[in-house]
Amino acid sequence: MSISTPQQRIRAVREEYSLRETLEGYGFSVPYLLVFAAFLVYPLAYGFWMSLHDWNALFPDRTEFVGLANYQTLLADPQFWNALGNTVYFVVLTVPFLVVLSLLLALGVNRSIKGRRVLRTLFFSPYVLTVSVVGLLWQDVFETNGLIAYFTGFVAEPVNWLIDPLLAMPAVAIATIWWTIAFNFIILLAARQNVGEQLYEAARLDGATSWRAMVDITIPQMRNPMMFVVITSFLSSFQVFGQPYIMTDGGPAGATETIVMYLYRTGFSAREFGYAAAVGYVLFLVMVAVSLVNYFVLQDDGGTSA
Amino acid sequence: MLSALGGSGFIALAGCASGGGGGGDAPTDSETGTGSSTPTGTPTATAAPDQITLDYWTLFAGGDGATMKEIVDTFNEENSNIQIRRQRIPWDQYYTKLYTSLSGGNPPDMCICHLSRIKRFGEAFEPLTDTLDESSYYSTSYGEGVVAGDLRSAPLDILGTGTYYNKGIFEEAGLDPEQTMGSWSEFKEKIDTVVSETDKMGYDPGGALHGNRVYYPWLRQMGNVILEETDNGWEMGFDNEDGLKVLQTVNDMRANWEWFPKDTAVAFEQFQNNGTAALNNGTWTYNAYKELDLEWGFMKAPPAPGMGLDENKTWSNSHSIAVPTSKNRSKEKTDAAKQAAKTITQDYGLLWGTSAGHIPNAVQARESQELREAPVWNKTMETWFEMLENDEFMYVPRTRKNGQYHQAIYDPVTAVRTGNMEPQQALDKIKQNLNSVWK
Repeated sequence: MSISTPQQRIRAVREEYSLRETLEGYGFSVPYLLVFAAFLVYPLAYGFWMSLHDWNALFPDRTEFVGLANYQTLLADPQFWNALGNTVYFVVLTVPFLVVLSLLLALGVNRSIKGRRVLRTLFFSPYVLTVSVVGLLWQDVFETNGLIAYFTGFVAEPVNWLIDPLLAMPAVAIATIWWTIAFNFIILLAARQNVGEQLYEAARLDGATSWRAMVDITIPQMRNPMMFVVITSFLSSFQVFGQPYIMTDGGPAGATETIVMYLYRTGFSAREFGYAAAVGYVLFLVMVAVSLVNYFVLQDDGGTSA
Repeated sequence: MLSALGGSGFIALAGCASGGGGGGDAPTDSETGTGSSTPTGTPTATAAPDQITLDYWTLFAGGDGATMKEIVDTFNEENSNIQIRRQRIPWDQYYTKLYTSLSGGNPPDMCICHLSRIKRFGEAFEPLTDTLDESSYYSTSYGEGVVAGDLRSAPLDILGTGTYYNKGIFEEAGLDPEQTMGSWSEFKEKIDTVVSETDKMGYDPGGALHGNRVYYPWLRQMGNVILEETDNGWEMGFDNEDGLKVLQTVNDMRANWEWFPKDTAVAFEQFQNNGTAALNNGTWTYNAYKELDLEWGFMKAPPAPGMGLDENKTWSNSHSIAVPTSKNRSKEKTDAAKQAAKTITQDYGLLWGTSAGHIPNAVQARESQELREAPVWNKTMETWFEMLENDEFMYVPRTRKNGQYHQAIYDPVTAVRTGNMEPQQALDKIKQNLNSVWK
């Protein structure tokens, strides 16, 4: 009998486990739930409370309740919209590449080619670097006397990408793709290795071409891990902070200031904690919306692997 | 409890940024050199039973850091009953850490604070009015340190900016390196000569806030204020023809006169490599340049475009030493910290001037003969004193949002400097940004 609804699942668990076993299960969960409540649920609620105040951390007695005024101000704040627009632009620049390139790399090194172990190591190696190293490294690459200018200097005037409003965000995106693609690559490589070889054998017997096998077997079988990669890439790109912070500090003229940078600047530079909490809540709502999309898409469990 | 947890709420909402975190507060009006990542402390000798140990946070790196270390070491040698434990915090994280320590109820016993920042902290610092006599300090700085009727931080120095120039390049261009430049037209003519007669870069006011330290005085000399106080906060004080003229000059220096290239940092970095004839820099530069294998000179910053030296102004600020309030500290310790702040600013102000190159704030140091006989006098200090006597130093408006308003201005100015924005567009953007700061 297949179990489809949550109620049926709960009933099945009740029938399968004794009361003692159930209590033991909850007992093992309690430490995590306490940590979860203390470090996520409580700050989450507290953050919302803060967002309703003109918060003064230095002189708490001067904190004033302002209701939804912070949200109202935020909606009319051009710097907030600029940061949100930059963030969406960054997501558009990075997510397609992070998904498609990592898939191509995974499929490539999954083949029986010479040196594939070395290639796997090479593709993964940038991921072990810290954001500071990545930021400084790519800052050097993109500056006027950097690597790119060195090679393009023969045909064009050297340009510092990071001070050009049109090139700055693509530069940050390139650095991010180079750095974080390894995570998706490993996930998709594992997913590809999990696809049964018998499916390809059967396809070959039926005369399917490599392209057909990829479209009809590989992609459908890797559907869930690919959705996972899309969603996590979106979430991490939406929260980008370290790379623009180090490479451009949000410039030139705010062209690379992202929403988390704006939140950080408002909170820790300007110390407008209530307003920063409101920015955080808007970011939180976007994250929740994406997570819900993730949840409902994965509910439709068509094919499975990984 | 509430204040200690102040920042946790929205951080939880943002989650951990996928790209990892950056360090701290973006530098906005710090005057010291580049930071290192490791705080350094001055170890103290084994404490005597009645000895008081004071934690002292500073942000000085490089030569300033070495001078402050010397001051603290000397203080510790001369005061067996009070020992100062110095801790250096990288300047880009300094004010964030200071703010967090204050809101968390665990601040240091003494700390450096720029007077431009004093309004943000204000009553979180102990009143020093009873400890420090106003007549012992430069009166303007003393006034800048007053919040809610009390002096909140002991002024250590007076900071300013001027023009450092390469004498060799001036000679190469056929100019007399010993002849200083008075009016704007004289200045422009000479820098234009350097550009046309040599392959060197002409003059760089510096990017971001650094450049603003030239443009703010220009605006003031033209008769404007940077900000005007209103009922709802502050608003732009130069949304007019003067503001546009300054921005047009920023654009001309790069685009039409070719004084510096598009890339913000290049001309500035090349001064030490004999590649740039002149640049704008501060009192702290003496310490960095004194060992430089380069014949350099120093003169006032150029006056506003089209103007002479009448009503000339220079940007100014001060390092000061504050004693943060703390419920956990005894009165005896707080009094010791106040006395230490007084001793460092007054008794060691001379060393701060002769070694670090900053203008000592305390009268006794400023009037000393030793200062006039020190190498710093001929290099820079004599000119600073002339400017001081002419009342040329201007402190920027103190608000609770100094870092933000500077950035609101320098972002569009930098865009003009790098050729990414037209002057009028930048002027409009500055107005929009400032309205956002006081939203």
